[in-house]
Amino acid sequence: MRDMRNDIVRTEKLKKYYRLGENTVKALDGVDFSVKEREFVAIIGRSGSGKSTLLHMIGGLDVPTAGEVYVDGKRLSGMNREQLAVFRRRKVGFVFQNYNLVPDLNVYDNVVLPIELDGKRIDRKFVREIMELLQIGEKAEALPGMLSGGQQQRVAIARAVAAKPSIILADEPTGNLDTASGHDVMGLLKVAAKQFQQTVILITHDNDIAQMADRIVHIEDGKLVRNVDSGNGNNASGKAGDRYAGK
Amino acid sequence: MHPERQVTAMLANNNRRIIGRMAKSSLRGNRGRNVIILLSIVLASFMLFAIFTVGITYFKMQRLQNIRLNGGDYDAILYGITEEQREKCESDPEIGRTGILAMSGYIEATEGDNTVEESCIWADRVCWEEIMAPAREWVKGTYPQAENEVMVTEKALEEAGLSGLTVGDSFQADYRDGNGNLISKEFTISGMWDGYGTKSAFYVSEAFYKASGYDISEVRCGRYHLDFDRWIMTSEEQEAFIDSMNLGKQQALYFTGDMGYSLPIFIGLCGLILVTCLCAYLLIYNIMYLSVSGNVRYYGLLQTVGMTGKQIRFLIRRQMFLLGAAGIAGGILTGFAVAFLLLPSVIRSLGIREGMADDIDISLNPAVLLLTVLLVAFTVYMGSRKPAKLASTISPMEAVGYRPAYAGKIAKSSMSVAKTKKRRAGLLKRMALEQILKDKKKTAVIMVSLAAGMSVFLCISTLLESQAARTIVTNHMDADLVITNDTLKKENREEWRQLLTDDFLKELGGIEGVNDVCPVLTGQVMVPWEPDFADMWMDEFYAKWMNIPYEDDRQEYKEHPENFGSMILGIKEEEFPWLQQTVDTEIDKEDFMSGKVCVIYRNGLDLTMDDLAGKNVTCAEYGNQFNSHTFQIAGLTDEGYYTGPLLGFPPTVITSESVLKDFISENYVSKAAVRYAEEYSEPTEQAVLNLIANSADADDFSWESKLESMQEVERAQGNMKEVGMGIALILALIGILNYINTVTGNIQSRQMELAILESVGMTDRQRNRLLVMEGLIFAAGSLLITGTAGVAVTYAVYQSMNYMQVPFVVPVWPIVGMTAFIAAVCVIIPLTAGALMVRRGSVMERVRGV
Repeated sequence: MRDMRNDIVRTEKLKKYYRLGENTVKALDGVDFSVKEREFVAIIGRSGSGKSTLLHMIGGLDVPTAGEVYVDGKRLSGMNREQLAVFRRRKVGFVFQNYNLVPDLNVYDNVVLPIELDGKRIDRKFVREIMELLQIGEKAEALPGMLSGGQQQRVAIARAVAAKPSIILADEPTGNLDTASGHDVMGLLKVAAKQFQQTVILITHDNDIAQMADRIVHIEDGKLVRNVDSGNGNNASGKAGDRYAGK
Repeated sequence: MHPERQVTAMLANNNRRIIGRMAKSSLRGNRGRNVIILLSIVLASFMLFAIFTVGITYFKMQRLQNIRLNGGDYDAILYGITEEQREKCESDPEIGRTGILAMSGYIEATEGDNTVEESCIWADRVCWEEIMAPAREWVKGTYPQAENEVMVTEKALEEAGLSGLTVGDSFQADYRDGNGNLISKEFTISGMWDGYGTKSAFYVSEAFYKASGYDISEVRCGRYHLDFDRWIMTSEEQEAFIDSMNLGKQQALYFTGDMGYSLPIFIGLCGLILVTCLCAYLLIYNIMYLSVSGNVRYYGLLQTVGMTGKQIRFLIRRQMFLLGAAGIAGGILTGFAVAFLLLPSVIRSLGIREGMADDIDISLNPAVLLLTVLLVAFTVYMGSRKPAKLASTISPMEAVGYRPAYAGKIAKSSMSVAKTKKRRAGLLKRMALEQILKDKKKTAVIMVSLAAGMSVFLCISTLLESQAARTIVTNHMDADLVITNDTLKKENREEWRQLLTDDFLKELGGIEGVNDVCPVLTGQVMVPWEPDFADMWMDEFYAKWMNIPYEDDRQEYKEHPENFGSMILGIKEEEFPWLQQTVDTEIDKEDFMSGKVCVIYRNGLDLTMDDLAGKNVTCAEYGNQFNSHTFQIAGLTDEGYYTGPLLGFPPTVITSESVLKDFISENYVSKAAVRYAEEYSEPTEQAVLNLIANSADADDFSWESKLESMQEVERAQGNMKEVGMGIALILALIGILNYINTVTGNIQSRQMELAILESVGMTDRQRNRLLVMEGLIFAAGSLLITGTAGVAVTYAVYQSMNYMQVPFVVPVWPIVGMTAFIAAVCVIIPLTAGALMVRRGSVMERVRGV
């Protein structure tokens, strides 16, 4: 059965090469990859396989050597730095392994930061709803340094969700957390994404975490090697392991 | 040996070698950081060296300027000197040398000009060869020996109508000696000179003085110059010295500005050096602190691999020693190069006579060298002490999770949610403020350092700008030019002529650029004896100015008041407010204009209005005692402008022009004050002088020009302005470098935070706005400090050198320029640093701190 939803993310022959001394490192080597609206995709791969690079390309945080990235129908390579920044705060919410909260701003200010940067009115009811959902409602005035890792990551998720972006990009969000907190955070991320109808692309090397996704994509040496439906959610493609990168 | 001790000792030895290797490799590895530190030490040493060198040069030039303005190198001058006083001074061990100038007559006419008024002065050997020498530029011939020899300047010859004469030439002149006799004599020019001082005088020989009828014990003759060995003397010490001299009623002792204000000047100089050292210290400290806090991970790592805190401190000190030694050497070499290349040309352009140049060239002063080395070494040590301590106390765990921007401080949340809601609109403003308040000490260091440079700039530009105003004796009514009719100075009334006629004054007023012309009318009067005011005045007058007692002359005065002539002056109504300004008591204008009351010139007497309240002065037309007028005395003035061409024994009476015209039929305009539309306007002055030069009686005019006085001060200043500005700029540069260092270091350490903001959608423009806002807060803060503390210090310094009591005014344009410049620096530097940061890598690379 064909999924009738539109591709919200699509990459075409995406390449990212780095020069390292005399060698060229191919972080991404012609990746064709797509994600449907409201899909929850996990990208797994070994350290240095290029999974983070792919995520950064999709988020407009890095510029490809060749190939194209389309997000919500927009071609990122056609945008300048200014437009990319605006694109990020409107379309993408990021969750990083080390939370990357602004240390000088309190929890509430961190959460509403992308909205404020966009000069939009803050939907306070919505923000409060998110913060309650992520169990950080009580911590609104605390500075990030006063929170535990799990709490900080929940603030990061709230920040990612608050601006109502279409996509949430999560780069090893549980990497710095113990197993229990990790699962906790993942559960909340999934609930939030579902509630606010957001697409999630998650990077992890933890198979248990990956199993929580609708689909799992393997990446090795800058190429997609396997695309597995985890059978875990509303993806209707049914079969697993039927697609290979570049073929 | 105890096994544990053996192990420790062995480790210590091993570590020392390792640390040595690590220090070297760390220096190589952190090349960028070390180049900055090295450069800052080079710069600091250079700047201190330059400040000392330039500062001492400046101080010497300031002294030279004063020597030129005073016409010699002395600290005090005594009018009239008795034999006892002279012996006392000569035996005083604190007085290095004393020199005598003696007024020995006045030349009244020469073969080229019959309205001359030049003094004949005898200078003794010390005065001529030692005290006055530094103010001279050149000398031809020799100092007069024979009675008829004179030493002159070209200016003196020109003013005496003898232009073109030179050494060996003779001329005929009439001079009045101390006994009042007019003597005609042929003089020979034995020498000529030029430079600074009393240039219009004719210097004469001791023989001339001895025959002149003058004596140095008289106030009108003796000018005893004292040069103290010490160069600081507080006002209390000065007063004590004056008291110890037992001055007579007529005598006066004045200290020169140099000695009189030496203490404030010395304190000011120390302040300047202190500010420089502070700036350099702040710069080094700041760089070191930033460098260590930027390398916390590195030092944490060293601890993780087993280095002790002591060893880390040693490592940092070792690095700083290497950098410090290289930096100081580099800075001083640069300083030497600059001193050798620049100073000679500066000295040449000063036009200082040869021989003086050696005194000014202080580039080889070993004290300056030593002081610079010590100061910079101390500053480097102090600057690296705290950072070294910081580095050694960082725990390995802290280092792993270290975020420089956060600095490990868990501060309270800065504002409540409610407040946050209210201030939503200003997110960037809030973040900028937050950033500045986060490390208050660092913020203060930057602001103070910027403010120090600016304050010195403010101070120096204010002082230089007001130099002329503070030191020039301005004309009354702030007139640009005061033109005088010299014929009225003749004792023989037959020779008096109307020069400043109505036509002349009309023509003068019509010159383009002349704003107004204020003539002063003069008539000759006598003040008949009466027992009340006239007697009291004469008594005081003789006590103050004469060598004989009043009793000797009282009878003659009673019987022949015409032998005691005086002057009455008439001023225009427009001038009344100016006159009022010089008088302490309130004068009724109507009564003054109608001739009911008058003002009299005090003439230095010890009389006050308390003595004169309700008293009247009666004047009679000279030679016609039946035409008289009685005025009530309403005020006393000390303004020398309100004197007639001749100063009689009885008082000079000031009334209105109309009263004078009705009272004295034979009246003359004795002087006219001219004010220009534009102060110091050269074209206007030239036009006025042309009018005088073209008049038939050109030689009989004289004038005092504000423009000429200013040009004289500027000439005497030499390059002081440039040197002063140089000091201000060097300090400003230190402040700005400090700012650049902090801002770049700050942005570097906030790289991650800024990248996070960028990752969640902060645009370049928003980042720039944030950085510009921070920069402007720094600028505003430092300007605020400059505007308060800086202005206060400037005011204090200004007032201590405000010889002429000129109102304190900060020059507008330099300050506007400085403000704009500092604002521009505070905006451009963060923007540039931000732009450079972006180039270093993609957002993610910066977020990871790669």
